Amino acid sequence: MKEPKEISFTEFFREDVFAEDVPVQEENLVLLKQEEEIPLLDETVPAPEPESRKYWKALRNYFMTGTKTSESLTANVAPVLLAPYLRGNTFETDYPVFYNQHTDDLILLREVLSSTFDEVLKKDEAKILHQNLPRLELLIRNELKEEMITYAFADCINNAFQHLKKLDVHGEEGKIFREQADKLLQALLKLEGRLIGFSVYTPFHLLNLQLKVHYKAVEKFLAQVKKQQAALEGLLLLQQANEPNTPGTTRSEFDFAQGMIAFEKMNDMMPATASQGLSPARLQRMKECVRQLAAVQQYFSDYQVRVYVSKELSIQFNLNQLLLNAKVEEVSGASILVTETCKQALTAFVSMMAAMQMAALEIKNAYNEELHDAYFASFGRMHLSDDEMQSFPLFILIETADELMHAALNDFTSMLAASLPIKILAVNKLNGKPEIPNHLASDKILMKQELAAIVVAQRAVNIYQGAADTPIGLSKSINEGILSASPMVWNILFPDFSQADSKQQYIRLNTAIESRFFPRLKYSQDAGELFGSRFDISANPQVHAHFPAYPLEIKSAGKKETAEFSISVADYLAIQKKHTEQLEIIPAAYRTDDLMVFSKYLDQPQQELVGKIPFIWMLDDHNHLQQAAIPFTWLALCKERIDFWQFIQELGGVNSYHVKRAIEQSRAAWEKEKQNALDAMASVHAEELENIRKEEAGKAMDRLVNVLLDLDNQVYVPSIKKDILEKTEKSSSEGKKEIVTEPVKEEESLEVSAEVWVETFRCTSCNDCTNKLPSVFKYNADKQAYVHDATKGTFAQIVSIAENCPAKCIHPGLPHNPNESGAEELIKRAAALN
Amino acid sequence: MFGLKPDICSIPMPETYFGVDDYAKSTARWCPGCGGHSILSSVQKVCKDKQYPPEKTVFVSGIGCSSRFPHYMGTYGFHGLHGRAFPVACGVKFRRPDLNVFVVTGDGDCCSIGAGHWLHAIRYNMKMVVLLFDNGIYGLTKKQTSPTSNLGTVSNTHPRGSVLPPINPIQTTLGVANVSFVAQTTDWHPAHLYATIRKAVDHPGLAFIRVVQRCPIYMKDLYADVASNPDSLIMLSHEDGIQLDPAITKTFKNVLEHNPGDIHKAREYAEIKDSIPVGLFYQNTENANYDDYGAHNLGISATEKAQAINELLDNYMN
Repeated sequence: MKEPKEISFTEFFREDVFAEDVPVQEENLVLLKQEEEIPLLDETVPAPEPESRKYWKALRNYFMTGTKTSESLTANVAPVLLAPYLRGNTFETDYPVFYNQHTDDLILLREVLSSTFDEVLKKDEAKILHQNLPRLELLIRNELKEEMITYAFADCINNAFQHLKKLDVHGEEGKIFREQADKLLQALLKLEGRLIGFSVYTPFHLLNLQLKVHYKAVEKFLAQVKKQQAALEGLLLLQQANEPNTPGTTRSEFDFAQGMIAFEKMNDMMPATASQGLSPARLQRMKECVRQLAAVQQYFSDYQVRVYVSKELSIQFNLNQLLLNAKVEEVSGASILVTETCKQALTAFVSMMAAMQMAALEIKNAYNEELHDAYFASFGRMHLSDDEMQSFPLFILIETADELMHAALNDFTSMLAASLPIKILAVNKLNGKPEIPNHLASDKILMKQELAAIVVAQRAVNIYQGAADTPIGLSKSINEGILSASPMVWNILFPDFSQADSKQQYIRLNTAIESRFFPRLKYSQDAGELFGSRFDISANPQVHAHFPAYPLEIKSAGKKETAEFSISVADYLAIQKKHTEQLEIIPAAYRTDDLMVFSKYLDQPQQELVGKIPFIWMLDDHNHLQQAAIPFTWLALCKERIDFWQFIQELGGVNSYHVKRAIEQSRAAWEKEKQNALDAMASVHAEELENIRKEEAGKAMDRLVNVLLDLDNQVYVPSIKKDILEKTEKSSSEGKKEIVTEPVKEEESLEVSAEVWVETFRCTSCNDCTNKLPSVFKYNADKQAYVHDATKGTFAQIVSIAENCPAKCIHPGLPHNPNESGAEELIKRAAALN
Repeated sequence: MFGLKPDICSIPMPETYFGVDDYAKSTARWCPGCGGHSILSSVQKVCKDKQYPPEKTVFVSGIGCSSRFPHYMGTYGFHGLHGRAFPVACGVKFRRPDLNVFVVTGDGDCCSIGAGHWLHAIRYNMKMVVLLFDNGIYGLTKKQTSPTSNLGTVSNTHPRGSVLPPINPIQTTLGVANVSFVAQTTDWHPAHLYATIRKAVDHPGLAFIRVVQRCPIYMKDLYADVASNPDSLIMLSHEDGIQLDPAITKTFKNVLEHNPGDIHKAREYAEIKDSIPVGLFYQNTENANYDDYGAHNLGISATEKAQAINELLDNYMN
């Protein structure tokens, strides 16, 4: 016999009762995970006075010179709000966007999925599928690879649905889920188009897609030209046919139609003017028009949008491959060339349009030589409407913003001043920007020339400043720019190409815009007559503030609290490693009230800032909040950016100095007026009061005198007014009135159903009917009975089951076979249950 | 979009979805017309709604017709000793807080032999759902008087009618310290039954539901009239109470507004005799849960515990 193994007391407990594999509740797991991610603010023990003083002296030196103190912490830090995302957390973006190739619309993938779902399915009926729409979006996103720019929508969703359908959904629900998924897939497959992902090429890609809009306008224009030409030629032919010396011309022209056209009759039908013969001047004009119209068609016969770009940029962005809808010309000094070419094209276009207008008049025979000769003699660009200008050939210049603002500045400004309808795409690259000088030497001017400011000063040039982080907005602005008759500048920020990861690129791009380093801006002279109405800065977050601020939960002294953190220009700078190294991370022991958070520092008046050092909140690898002091060079750069932000805020009508002053002035005037009115009222009131007092005092004195002299026996009794008494009587009698309402009669009309039916929602799932007559009664997905096929059972069986139903929710109705034996008897029994 | 926001698509989602069939096992062997069928299908529906993984769900029962319940669920189950469903369930919950625990008990099992455990389980207030199948009779053993049988019930044990007034399970539960959730419903109103269980599973403590149940064999006459007469039910209605579809609410002729935070009113309404009040009598989500004080919930590891015991024992060695 085997001896039992001896187990020590401790082992017994360890092995059995206290085993460590107790799973924690899933809800708790989520909580634990969140708690880890909440930034912690350490409690501090202040350093002794002498040490602290020494450190602060070094810190002030750092602020002025940028030389870090010896005690600066060397932690790996990132701006608080951005840290989780910089370290790999996924975040929401507008990408991928879906481009519908039939409607040319750009829609967020999320919206495509949800709107298509709403079209074909109901949320309540397809709960699981609806719940999994985010998963579907994620699966589609997983199909997109980094190196490509666009993706075939059908391929992506087919693959994504294959994965989705693998989801483990059991039972009847599983079958329904897969059917619904198929239905959604079929509906999505009907949408033809491509998905566009985020990359450095996206703005060019959107430009290429929007060029189609221009081609459509040109096509419409050409159709009109052809129509006019045909009409004019028709008139000329008839004229020739009518001339006596060339009797056979018309006949010969329409030779093929011999026998079908009666030329003699045709002459009678011709317009009177034509049959009477055209004047030589008119004939000349018409011939000239026809020639011009033919020239237009010739001009547009192999028309392509011209894109002028420097060779360097073209190669960098591979524009030959990207801008397939345009003809890319690689030239240096493109500004001058494009101006010249555009000028020539405009002159030609103006004469074409003159011919068009003339032709239109001629066809209607409305050309008045006295009036129109002078009009056409002085015909110019000013006579063309915006609609007519839409078919003007498109000239696009693509150039880096640096080049435009420095080497080519003169050409650029003269191009803008010429008011030619040229469209310019300025490329702002974030690579290595901004450069922060180590010292703020006197000869280094930080004030930046702003492209947007130069363009806005031209007044007649539209501008859109933004980036590809909002593809819908960008695409819309490109569309508007192409269709507008005004010159347009798209000042577009491009991400840092040196970052391999597109997520990192997106974060930098988005932060540059949010932090007011490169704010979104739109100026469109087409938007309104008044200058202010043409500005739009509403696409920026929290436009009233210097910097946008967001609440964040932090943990301080063991307690959770919500603090507000802003995304400032300094935070934007601090994303880059090379900049972070310039920050002084202050040891917790030296934290004092003299440290002032940067966004607050900027708002303070100068006298409040004496002895203060600005800092920004950073988060280290261990999720602890750190205060990082910034040097003076950063402060100067940030101030410069804020200056520009305030400039466009003013233009956009936000925080306007003049408006504030006007409000203050009108308020002061109003308050003064109010005070005057109050004073006047008070004096009138005081006067009246005084008069009454005097009057009453006089009366009282009289009465007193009369009483004293015993001349008046009357005693003063205040009388209750009669009408008041009447009122109270009336109201009390009203209260006594009884509310009589007529009983509502409910007429119930019961109709007997011809067939057996079940009140499914009352079924208690007792299995009685489904066991006894399984072919007649079945359960639905909620395991409640319904009538599957009433003809599969006899009426006798159905009545018997209905009688036994514990919920009494089966109503037998009338027999489906009236010849069933004992039907009458059964109908009587059934009547009690119907 | 302003600012970087967490991506909604990256929130983890379940990989498996369970259907009603996942919670069903074998054919329920209750008599045709038994209220148990209705409760079973409602519980299965709630499990499906909550997508409880069957392997993470336990039904614990005692003895009686009701206690056959775990056999019909496709989850884990424990068909225990008479009256001992509560201590077993508390043990399961204490040891495995990750499991969804249900207690299925009957009027005999809970209110008679298991009454002691009943009171303490209410007081422990561990997160679980208790379903009291109250048909007012011992059915499994062929009709004997139970503690909830009405006065005068003729049964095998009281051929001339029972002589003691019945226990009121709602009133009794409301009288226990630390009570946190008390509701009443009936088996013949599936929509209300379902809504009540649905509310109970989200309660953070012990949710006690008395299901007024019909026994079609031995107590055929007890609720026959009541079940066919909608006037016999009074619905306790409140925004914090059991929420029903407005169309179904209309089927209740008598509606009484009752705030489930008011325990005094709850006790008053629990005494309504001439009709059956259904709905949420009382709920308090702030009460203490005894299992929070379990060693592993306090973060004490097995090694630490073993060490503490050793130290304690060492004291006796000297």
